[in-house]
Amino acid sequence: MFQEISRTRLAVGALAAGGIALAAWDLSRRPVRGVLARRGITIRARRHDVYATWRRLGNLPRFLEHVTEVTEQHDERSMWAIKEGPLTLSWEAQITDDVPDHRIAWESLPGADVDNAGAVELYDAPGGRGTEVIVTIHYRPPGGALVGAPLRGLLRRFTRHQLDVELRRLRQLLETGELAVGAPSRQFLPAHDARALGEGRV
Amino acid sequence: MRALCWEGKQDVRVKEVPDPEILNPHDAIVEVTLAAICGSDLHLYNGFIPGMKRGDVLGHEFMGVVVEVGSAVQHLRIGDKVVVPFNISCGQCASCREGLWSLCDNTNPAASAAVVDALYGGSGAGLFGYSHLYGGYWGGQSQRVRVPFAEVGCLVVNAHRDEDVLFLGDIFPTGYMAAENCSIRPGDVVAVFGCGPVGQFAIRSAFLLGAQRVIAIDSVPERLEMAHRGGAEMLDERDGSVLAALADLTAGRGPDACIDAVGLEAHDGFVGAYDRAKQALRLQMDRPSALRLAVLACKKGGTVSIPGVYGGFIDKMPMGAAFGKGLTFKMGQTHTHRYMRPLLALIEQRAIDPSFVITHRCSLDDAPEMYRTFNDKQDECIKVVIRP
Repeated sequence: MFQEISRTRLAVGALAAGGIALAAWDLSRRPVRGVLARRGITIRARRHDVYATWRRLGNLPRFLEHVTEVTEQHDERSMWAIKEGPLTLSWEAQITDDVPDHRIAWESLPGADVDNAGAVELYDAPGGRGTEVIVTIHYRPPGGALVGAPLRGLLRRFTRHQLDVELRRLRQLLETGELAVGAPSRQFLPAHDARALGEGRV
Repeated sequence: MRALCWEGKQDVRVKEVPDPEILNPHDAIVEVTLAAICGSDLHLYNGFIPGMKRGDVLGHEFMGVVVEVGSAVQHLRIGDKVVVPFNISCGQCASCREGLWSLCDNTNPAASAAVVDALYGGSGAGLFGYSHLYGGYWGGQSQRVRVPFAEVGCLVVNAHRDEDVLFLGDIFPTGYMAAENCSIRPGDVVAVFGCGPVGQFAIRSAFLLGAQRVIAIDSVPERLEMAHRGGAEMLDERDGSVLAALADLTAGRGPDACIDAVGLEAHDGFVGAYDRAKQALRLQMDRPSALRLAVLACKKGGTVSIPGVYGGFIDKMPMGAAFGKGLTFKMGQTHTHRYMRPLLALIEQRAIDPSFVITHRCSLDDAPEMYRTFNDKQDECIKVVIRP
């Protein structure tokens, strides 16, 4: 679920660059359509462990680098927050499908700052290679159909790239127990990495 | 601490920078006792490699003493003297488990790995001191280094002299893997294009692996002479057609294997960098010519082994010759971790003394001057070591 949010944040950035105010968002249409991105990664871990890591939603900000905080609530609902300078995007999400060790799907609830939906699906990789993790994200580009359509292709590539970054972080944490950082010391760490370090295994 | 920093094209300076810190459980901090300038550092120095930032600390060949370890480090002790491989490997991913250490899935941080992935369709391991495309890890031409996955990489060498073992972190394994990739059989003739430090180790490794003859090709007299001292026959490319000479020296067969120890180093999928590199190469190095010659010279059914670094695209590759002669290509960054222990054993057996390649020794303060000397091939400079 948080994947979409981070995607959304990127969309917000792209939009801001275009000088379009957040207020212009058209939040009236449902269900979520628009940008669809998909990305897979193979992780040397058991399907169960990948599922368990993802299902503990509080883990997600460690590898979804743009998500600041996730809080689990009752009834498979959760609150998400992206804080970027003075801007906060928040969001309530609902798990819509939960098949242990196989699949988790989610959708934002009405009132979300950005509409989104997505799923993570887990398969046994061939030849004992671990688990194939396939993530699908839908979200509606800000600005409604008029602005959204021209942006869609760009956002899809952007999103796919960002998914690659975040799934790599997940693989690092699951395979090695730590996040790879190039910085020599804390003062050189980006905030999202500083937040993710030193919390032990996911 | 003090460190040699990249400040721009042909501009490296020794500066005071913050000390490194333990950031992850498998980290160690190593206090550097000896480091080297690598030929591939010159391509950073000359500005061919994108992804460098002002203030980046260079150096991927280094060794030193462990002064601090992370919470998950169990077998390295404070005070251990270690050689550190130039590539960082996690030891846990599918690539490391297959022994393909330089292709580690996890050590290039996600943001840079995703960029390399977009360019190449996959990213190799993080590298010390080798641009933000490979993680921006600070290197070893400095007083202290943060070494991730220290137990996976560091080779403990408490009983050895620094100069005897330093090159286990890069150029000895790189030359050795280049020779191993030639699948040498009895009677084989191996041609080595480029007699820089990697070429020197490739020559000696080819003999260790059973080559009958090694032909060394270069245009710098002292490098050819050093190759000759290692048992190779000298072929000075200034004396005429290298292709004709190699054919004559092998009675028409061609070398069984050709090693391109020159590389291109003109980098990256970025068109701008590519064009810049092409220009620079024409002015100065003409480097893709080594690979073209290797392909054209190689015996039918032979192997072209490429330890020289390539980063982007090359022009006018004689693919028809490669196909027509059924050549095998082997290449890639060295799986350093695979070779460190076996090659240390060779050093201990006195089968080789890697310090033969050192021509210059200096302090950290003198390192910027030595970059110029090495880059300009002045003062018969082949290999510089720095004692910070």
